[in-house]
Amino acid sequence: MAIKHVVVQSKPPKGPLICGAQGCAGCSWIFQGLSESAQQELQKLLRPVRYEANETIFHEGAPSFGFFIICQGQVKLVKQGSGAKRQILKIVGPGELLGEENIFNGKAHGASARTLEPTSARFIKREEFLDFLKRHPHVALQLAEKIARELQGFQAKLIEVAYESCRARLARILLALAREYGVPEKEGLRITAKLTRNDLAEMAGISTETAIRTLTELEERRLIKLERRKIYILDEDGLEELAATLPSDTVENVL
Amino acid sequence: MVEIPAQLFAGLAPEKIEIIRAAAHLLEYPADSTIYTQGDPADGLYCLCEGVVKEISLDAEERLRWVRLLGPGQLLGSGESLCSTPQMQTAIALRQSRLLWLSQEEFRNIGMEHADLLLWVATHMARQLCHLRSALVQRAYTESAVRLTEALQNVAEAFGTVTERGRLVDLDLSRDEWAALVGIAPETVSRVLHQLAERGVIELHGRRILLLDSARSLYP
Repeated sequence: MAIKHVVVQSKPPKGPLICGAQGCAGCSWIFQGLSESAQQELQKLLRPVRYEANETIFHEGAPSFGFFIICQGQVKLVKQGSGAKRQILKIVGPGELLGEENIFNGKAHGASARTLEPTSARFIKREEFLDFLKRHPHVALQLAEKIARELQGFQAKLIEVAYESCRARLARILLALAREYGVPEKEGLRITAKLTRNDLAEMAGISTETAIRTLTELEERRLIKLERRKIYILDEDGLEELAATLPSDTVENVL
Repeated sequence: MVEIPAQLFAGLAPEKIEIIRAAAHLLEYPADSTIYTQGDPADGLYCLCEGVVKEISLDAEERLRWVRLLGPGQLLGSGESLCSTPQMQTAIALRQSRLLWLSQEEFRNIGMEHADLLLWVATHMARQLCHLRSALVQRAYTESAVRLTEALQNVAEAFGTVTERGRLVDLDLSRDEWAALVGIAPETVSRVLHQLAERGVIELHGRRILLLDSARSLYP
């Protein structure tokens, strides 16, 4: 069978500034193309909420009444496995949506959301947003497209976890973090997301011991530098050589 | 007249279902025929009404990396149609299958006129997203043998034939396909299947697998 490598479209640019929060660079791309009046209509649905660092926004299994748009801060979405094992499904940052699949999928959260740093967000009630979507089908189309991209991302991660080594998975995640949250500094590209070694392990689906051992190995190879909770990427190309390649050029949900 | 599974249009108002049915084309595929191929341009939304479909994908080195089995009430091609990307998988009818097909253009036109259609497709995808997230945690932390045994039970439950002695899985899946379905090595599939057969949990008849009712208590 002749294989054509499937490449997903590049990530669309951010949408308009809906919340009006200071420092916000724009809201999710699903709101692209909204008229001024539609933006005002949407703004009326937003309820501002604030959380401290390491605060739980919602628990897995708890009833869901809507979803969030993150304005500032970072949130990890975590799913409980058997025993004490957990998997970080993704990291959600400014402009991105949190829990949007719950608009369609039942009334309970499928995972827990916990802040990595002080976070401000806007909450939208499910029923109100569903009414909004019916009045604005192009947003419904873009939201459905976003969920389709999430699906492709998780499918790619399922293949990665089955066939790639722990080192390759961790290297890919470090690169993805650096590209999303990296700040150039004298020592190298510093990952600003406040993640512990345990968080990195739970993102890669490996044990904390393996994550620590692998990070030390990457540091010995001078690909990264570890400094307490700070991680610097010293050699992006070298890390790229070790990193797993997601089966498709997935642009949503690479973290 | 095709039989519409109840879960296919669950949540849609009768008049909206009629709009889809009026615009859709009924397609029939005999067993072992290809519905679409990985890399083909997305061509619309497929609603599986009758039969069983196998979705597979190969990586750039042509290694089988993904297998999913779909039964009546499930959608195919929705993600590619929404993202306008080539098909990520190849879809093959494992049994005689009947599908309602909405072309890409019809799907988008109806969706822009009736947002309920888009919300209905999003609901199907959100359900699958929930399933994939659970599968990701399971793949990361559950032993291969347990995953394969659970997959056997799930496939038998969804697609197996009830016999006097247990459920028979007769889908003509190769060892490599079971491996890609569960995300383990083909050698592990062989080893675990033989161990289960030795313990009297299953019987192997070529590619047909009988899950014995008498051994139900031995399942994880």
